[in-house]
Amino acid sequence: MSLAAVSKHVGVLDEANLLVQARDGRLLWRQLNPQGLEPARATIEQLREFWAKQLDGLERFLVDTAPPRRRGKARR
Amino acid sequence: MKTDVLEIKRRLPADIGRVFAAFSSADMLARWFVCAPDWTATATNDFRVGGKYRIEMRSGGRLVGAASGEYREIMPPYRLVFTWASEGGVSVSDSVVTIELKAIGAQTELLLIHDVAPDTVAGRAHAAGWRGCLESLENLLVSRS
Repeated sequence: MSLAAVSKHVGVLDEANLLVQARDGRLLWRQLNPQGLEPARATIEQLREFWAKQLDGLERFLVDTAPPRRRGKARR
Repeated sequence: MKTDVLEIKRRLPADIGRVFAAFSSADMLARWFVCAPDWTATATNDFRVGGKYRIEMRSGGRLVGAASGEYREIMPPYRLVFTWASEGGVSVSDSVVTIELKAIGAQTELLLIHDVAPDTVAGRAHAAGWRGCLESLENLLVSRS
């Protein structure tokens, strides 16, 4: 991998707030910032709960509106 | 590390046509799109590619959440893709939801994919496959330093 390519990809990570940097004299250290992923992870967890409830609602709706069976006993 | 894509799979006790229909009109959406049985929902739904929808959820008359967006793909009864922005309980903007349905006999398997960052820099970094490569990149950076 060329230095320019590394630099470009580091830039993408930096924009995504996934890096922290520290200067040590003329050296610039870039370190992975796992906390940069945290806001997305928290949102995903909230959405997981949200969608689970919505799908419960969908399931209730589907059961409540189920067409009566042609033969045999109706469900309720 | 798929940290900004949510996937949920659910088996539903109805045939694929009925499941798809539940998404396809404002009236249908309003009847089930709630977080709790005692909530109510109102919806507008222009069900065509490019059409917009908006759903508002209320609890005891109080607005507790709203979601809106635009349809990107409609392939009855198998696939539905729409943009998603929500306020209230869970606030997200610029996200995309994909619903895929598969008939399993008289039942339906629903796969919901919610990509919360399709157009952001974080999302692009993800799409470029970097999330999975972070460790090796880190190693590379460390070894070159």
